[in-house]
This record gives sequence, structure tokens and C-alpha cells, in this order.
Amino acid sequence: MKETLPGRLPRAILLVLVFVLAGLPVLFVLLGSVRQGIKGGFTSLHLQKVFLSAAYLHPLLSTIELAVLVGLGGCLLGTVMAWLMSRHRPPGGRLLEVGIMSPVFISPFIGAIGWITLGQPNTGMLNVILARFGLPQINIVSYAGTVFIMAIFFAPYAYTLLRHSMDRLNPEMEEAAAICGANRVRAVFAIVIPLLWPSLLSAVIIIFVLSAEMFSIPGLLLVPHGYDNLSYAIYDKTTHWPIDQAEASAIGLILLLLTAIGMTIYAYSVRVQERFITIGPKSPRAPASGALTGASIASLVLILCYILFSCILPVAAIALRAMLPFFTGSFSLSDLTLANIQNTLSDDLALTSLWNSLIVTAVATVLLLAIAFFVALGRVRRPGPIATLTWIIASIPIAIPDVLIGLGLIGLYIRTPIYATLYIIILVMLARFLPVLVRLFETGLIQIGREIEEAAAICGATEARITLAIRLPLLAGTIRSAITIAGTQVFNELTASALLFTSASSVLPVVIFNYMFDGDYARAAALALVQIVILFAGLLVMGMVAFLAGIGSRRRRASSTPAKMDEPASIGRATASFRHSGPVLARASDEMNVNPEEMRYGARGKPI
Amino acid sequence: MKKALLIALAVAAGIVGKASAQEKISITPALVAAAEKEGEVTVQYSNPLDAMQAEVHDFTKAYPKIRVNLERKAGSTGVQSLLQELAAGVNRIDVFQGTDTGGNQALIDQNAFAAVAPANASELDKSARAMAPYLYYPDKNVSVVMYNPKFVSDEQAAKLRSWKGILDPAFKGKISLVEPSFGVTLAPLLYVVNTPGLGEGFLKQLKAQKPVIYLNTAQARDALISGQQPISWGAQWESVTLSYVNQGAPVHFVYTDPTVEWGGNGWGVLAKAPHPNAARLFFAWGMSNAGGLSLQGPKINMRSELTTLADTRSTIKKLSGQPWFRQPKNIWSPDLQDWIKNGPKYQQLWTKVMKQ
Repeated sequence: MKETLPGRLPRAILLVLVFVLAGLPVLFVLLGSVRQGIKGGFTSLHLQKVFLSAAYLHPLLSTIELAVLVGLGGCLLGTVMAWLMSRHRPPGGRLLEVGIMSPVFISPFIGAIGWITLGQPNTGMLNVILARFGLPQINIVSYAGTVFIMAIFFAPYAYTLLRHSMDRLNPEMEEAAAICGANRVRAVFAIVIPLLWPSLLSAVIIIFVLSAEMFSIPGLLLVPHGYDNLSYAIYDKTTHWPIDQAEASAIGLILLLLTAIGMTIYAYSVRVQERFITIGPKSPRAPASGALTGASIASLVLILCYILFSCILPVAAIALRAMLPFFTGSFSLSDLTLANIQNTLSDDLALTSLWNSLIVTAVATVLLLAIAFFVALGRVRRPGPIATLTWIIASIPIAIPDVLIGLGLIGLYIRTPIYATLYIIILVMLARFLPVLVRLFETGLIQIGREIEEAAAICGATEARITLAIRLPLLAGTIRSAITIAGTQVFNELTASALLFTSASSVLPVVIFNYMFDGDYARAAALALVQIVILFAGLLVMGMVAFLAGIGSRRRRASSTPAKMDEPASIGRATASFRHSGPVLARASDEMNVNPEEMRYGARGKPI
Repeated sequence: MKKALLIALAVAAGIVGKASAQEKISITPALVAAAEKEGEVTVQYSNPLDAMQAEVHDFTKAYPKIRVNLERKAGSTGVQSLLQELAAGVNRIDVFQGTDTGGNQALIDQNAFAAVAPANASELDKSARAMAPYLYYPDKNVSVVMYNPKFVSDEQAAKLRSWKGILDPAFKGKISLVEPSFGVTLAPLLYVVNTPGLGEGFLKQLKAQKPVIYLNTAQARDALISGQQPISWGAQWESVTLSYVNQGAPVHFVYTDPTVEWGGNGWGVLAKAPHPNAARLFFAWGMSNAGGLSLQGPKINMRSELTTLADTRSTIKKLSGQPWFRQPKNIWSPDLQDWIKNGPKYQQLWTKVMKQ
């Protein structure tokens, strides 16, 4: 049936909104690459230099090499964590999940400073300890060290994308393979990886793209030792006089092309979406949670090791630096002081910036969630020219370095009242993080079968009702991850904010950076510590809300069914909400001539 | 010949015209009242945050009814941001303070600043007035070589007083440099490229010492204090070094001979400042004795360019008794025109030698 104009209108409005938020800043970057100075005309000189000469070949190759290594490393770490959590269900699951996600709460810049404090040759805290035991030292200020830090920093992205997919993966298929004689490795390669392929690919591509455009960690650890990459070239052109934003924009186009290639590969790989549906009317059987088996204890140990290296050690190093006036590699307890933290909490600039950061984070997160959900929904459920175009435009900013997005927004809004206010900081967050959130929702939606929604539609449920009663509950885990990722990324964002802030709209990371830039690492670390504590507190509140919601849903289930329900919490919450759509299901079952209970529990009586 | 004479006359007339168009600023009750009526002033600056807060604290103590909005946009990035705002007709900033000489000149070329002269302009050293009447430099920057005495002895460090001392094999692998992108990193490079016997050959020898090249001076100081790279060469300046000494950090320093010295922060009143009176008051205070004393305070430690003001810096007095501390002997000041005209060329030369 051909769709009517009023039916297309919401999607057209979404397209315009996404174009304004994500498309226009990128367009300004593109235009910037062919402009000559602030008031100059047009020129193709910069594009010629960047694309037709070998001037940036070496930085390009270095960027690809680092991004591939970090993409694979981060994805591997995230996959292993997701596998251990999903399949072995170690005790303390919820707390462990927070620990696994913890690197995203720490800004990469701060995390790198923490690791330098720990692992620099000779005077790094870990090296001092290793030397005391006569053990070989580590050198974090090296290529391998950089890949390691970036991989642990990006692993939570892979974990987030893969965890829910793994939870929804029915182990019966692997059991069937085992019955047919396949060993575990063969089952992983023949069943698990193909089923997880969209999530795996999505994870590798997202980490690859984010690594390619990251400047902070390579800038701190590699550039001082002669390493050259594209993000450094952009930094050079945008900070060293005479500034050449046009050439910086042209360099940014290389990153855009890299991403375009990655996205094309991704789109091609997930073209037949139904191959990857792992949630249908019949739900997977999940292993019991928290049972103490050999595998679950081994998983617990491995996960704790990861949390130790990715979060506990660098945060401890930052905390130590916050309590020392300067770090010489050795200290005694009498050197420790809380003065920096006290000064931070009474500093007007820090407090104002903190308040601004909280406002920006709250507003941007809510907007990001709403817009990303609808963009992904259009892409997955209503594929068509408008939805695809919206998705493409929403995805492009991931490839553009923050600094260029910031410059694009300045060009776009400098003549408007939005310029030099908090609104422009919120806009940069929307442009910057929309691609990540869209990808997250897209992955979640791909794995929800259409049958449930079709059944509800047959019963007369509207799109809004289907979204509220079916999609959102089933996406509860994805939404939680989305809030975590959006909230933390927005709260930590520095590069674009540093270009756009004014005295009235300063945000916390900018103040931290300014202290760091001055060499006042102690105050910067104290503020970073405050930042980390706030993020953890936010996460704790969210976890408690989810926990209470879980208790509520379990009570409701207990009163409605005697069946034991041990499915993962997020799916549990989603199914609990889904059950409230009883009348809708009843009508759907009438239409389909199916027993409502069979529809609810699937053929083998497992809860949906 | 006739044409050249006419041009010379026109240039002279222009200079006289400019000079006569200068607005003399003195702190009068009328200016203070008008500034207080405006109630605020927005300052874009490059200085370290702590130093700037100390300066604002002193200003606010004198003029409590005026709020100072600080906006830290350092170096070239700050200049570019202001240029963009000017091109778009956005007038938010009242007073500009910048360390990037090339960028400062670009702002002057775009008529960013009002032509002004503080009432005590004649008391300022000549180097403070190099960009007058648009920018004045009330503080003097002095280049130093910083070292960590735990890893480099004071006896060894004495060699660093000579420019070629850094090439001593004993220092190989211990040195950090910083990319020359603004004042404190460019001024020593100007001396190197303009001095016979140094130049590109010296840079090549310096490269052979296997220095680590940081992106900013703070990284170099952090690496120095932790002992990673115990010598920071050509990238540190006196005031920031003194603040580390004050904190008790393991930091000593020497002045090279000759010592590179130049105007630190160029102060300018924006031509279209939204708070013109408060801007003028802040500017005039910065150039005054009170401003000079604030600059010499323990949190800023800058040398004042006011010839009438004695050096009151307490840290320098404390250091005078230290055996390793010696005041600079000979001073070399960069030619600002050379800096503005050839600075990017010298940066490229540095990059060619050090990065390839």
C-alpha cells in the first residue's frame, strides 16, 4: 500500500531535524575545505594538497594502522567480557557490568594521564613496585602502551553492542551443534559469530572510527616521540599560527572517507537483517545467574582483572595526583593532602562549570535518546529513501573530528543568538554523539523480530502504542546503555567544547583541561576525580532505579505465572512490560487463531 | 624619487594621524563611575588560569563593583576565535591579552583594537610598546632552561648557560623540547636562527641529542618533575618556573647567556568593546603601578615592564642566596617585525629538522 503524505510527514520532519543538527555542521566543514580564509573566496588548493599529493599519506597509513589495532583489540576485549558475562553469569553481575563500563566514565585524556602516572618508565607507580620485586618494567609511553590504553578505553563500546545480542542468542542452537558433533570452537565460528556478525562489525567499525579521529591519547603518548597521524595534522593546522582551518577541514575529509567505507561494509553485511533476529515470539533460555561454578569463578577473576586495569588503577593514580602537589615518582603518606580537592569544591569557576555540565548532559542525553531511537526505528522498520537519508546524515559526524565539528558549528551559528551560550554546546553534543546512539538503537531493533509488532498491529495497536508497549520495553537494556554512553560522553566531551565555550558557558572538562594546560595537574586531577565521582553516582542511581523496577516486575510475574524466570534482567523487564499488553495480545491471538498463552510463552512454555 | 618622497610623506602623515588619534587613558573618577555603571568586563586571555585569577582578585579588590568575566583562549586558537567573531560582527570581548605575536599582529591588521595610550605609557619599557597604540605588554617574559636537580646536578646544569651547552653528550636522552607555536617556544627559536654559529646546524645537533618533543609546556614540566625528561630546553619561562619553585617542586633553572627576553602578554582594548569604560579601566589598571605590583605577586611572578617599579618578587629574593641561582647577564630581545614576518618560516624549519 502506498504511503500517504501525512504518513511521511513525521519522517520528513525527522530528516530536517537531523539535517540541521548533524548535516549542517558537516556541510560547513566541507565548505570550509574549499574556502580561503575567513573572508576569502573558494579554492581547491587544499583538497589538491590533501588528496592529490603524498603530503598526508604517511599520517593516513599511521592512522589506519593504529585504528585497526585498537578496533580489533577493543572489540576482542569487549566480546570476551560480554561472553563471560552472558554465558557464565559470574556472581555480582550488575556490579561487574558497571565495572566493565567504567572506562567510558573517565575522559580519555584523564585516563591517559592516570596511565602515564602508572606506567611511565622508571618512575611510574607500577614500575616502582615491579622494580622492588625485581620484575621487568612496563613502558606505557610506547606504541603498544597506546594501543592497550585505547583498547581498554573503547572496549565498553563493543561490550555494550555485544552484551545484549549475546543475551538474546539462544544457547539451544549451540547445544544442537554439540549434539551434531561440533566442538565448542566450531560452534562459536559456525553459529555464534555469524549470529553476532552485525554487532561485531558494528563494534569494530565504531571503535575504528573513534580511534582514527582521537587525538588525546596518541597526542599525549605517541606524538612526542615522533608519531604522526591525521588527528595530529588537524591539531597542528588548528592551533599553530598561521591557522589553516581550510586544510584542517580537507584533512578531516580523509577521515570522513574512511568512515564512509566502514559504513558501507557494515550496511552491506547487515543487508538481510532477518538473518540476525534473535528475539522472536520464542525467547532464548538463559543460564542461571550467580551460580558458583568453576567457569563462573574463572570469569569473575578475568573480569576483575579487566576492571582493575581499565578503571581501578588509573582512577587510583588520578586520586593520588589530586592529593599530591606534584608527582615525582616517589612520595610518603605525609605528602598527601586534601587541599586541592577542598580548593576545587570552593572554586566558583569549577562549580559554575560543573552546573553547566550537568545541564548540558541532562538536556543533550534526553534529546539524543529520542532522536536516535526514531532515526534507528526508521532505518530498521521503515526502510525507504527518507529513512535511509536520515540515517546517513545522522551517521556522518562520527567521522569528523570533534575540533572540526566545533569549527563547523561556530561557522554555522556565529551570527545567531545561540552562539556563545550553552545551547551551542548542547548542539555540538547532539551532532557529535548522535551516530553512536543511532548505531546502538539500530543494533537493538534489528534483533527484535517483527512478528510481535505485527501481531500488535493486527490487533489495531497504533505505532505509538507499539513503541510504548513493545519496542521500548524490549529495548530496556539498550536504553540503559544509551543513557550511560550518552550521559558519560557528553559529560566528558572536551575538544569541541573548548572551542565553543565562553565565560558564561564554560563546562567542567574545559576547566580541567585549562588546569592541565597550565601544568596544574593536581587541581586538574582533583576536578577529574569530582567528575568521575559524579558519573559513578549517576550510574548508581540509574542502577538502583533499574533494580527497583526489576523487583517490581518480578513481583508482578510471581503473581501472574508460576514459571521460574531466570532470563537476563533487561529482557525480564522488557517481557514484564510486554505482558501488560495483555488485551492487545488477546486480540492478536484471536486474529491469528493462536492460543494467547502459547503466544505469550512460546511453544516450549518459556517466557517471552 | 618624487613618488618615493610622496609615499614617505603619506606614511609619516599616517603615523602622525594615528598617534594623534590615540586615546589617552587615565583612571579618573568619571571613568571609574562609568565602568561601575557597566558593571562587568569580559577578558580573553592566555595566561595560566591561577595567575589570571590572582590578577583579577587584585583588580576586584580595587574595584569591587565590576565583575570580570574570564575567558581562557590561549595562543593562536584564541586569536582565530576573535578574528572569526570580528568578521561576523560579534562583539563580546572587552579586553584581549595574547602571547602569539603573529596572531596579535593579525588582529591589529583587522582593526580589532582601539588606539589607546595609558597615561603612564612613557614609564613602560620600549619593548612593552612595540605594538602600541593597539597592544601594550606590561609584563616581561624571560626564557629559562629548567632542570630536575635529582637527575641533573647543578654543576652539570651550569653548562646549560651556554646555548651550545645543551649539546653536551651527558644530556643526550634527557632533553624535552616543545613545538614552537607561541611566545615562550618561539622566542628562543628566533635567537637560534638569527645567531651565527647556531641556526639550522645547531637544530640538527640538538635533534641528535634525541629530545622528546611535547605539544605543550605543561607536559614538558610534568615529565621533568617525574624525571622522565629532566631538562626542558627552549620552552620554559621564568614566572612559571618560579611558581614551581615556590611549591617546593624539584625544579632548578638557569638563564642562557644571552638571555632571551620579550614582552609577554599584549593587552588591547577591543575597538567595539561592549563595555568600553570597564575595558579601559581594566586596561589602565593593568598598565599602572598597582597592575605591575599584581604581576609581581607570588602567584604570577612576572617581571613588570614599568621602569619605575622595582623588582618586588619575593621568590627571586629567596633564590638570591642559592648557589645555583644566577641572574641573567646579557639580554637579547627578538625583533618583532622579524617574528611576525618570518615566524612561520622558522617554525617550518624547526619542523623540517626535528620531525622528519
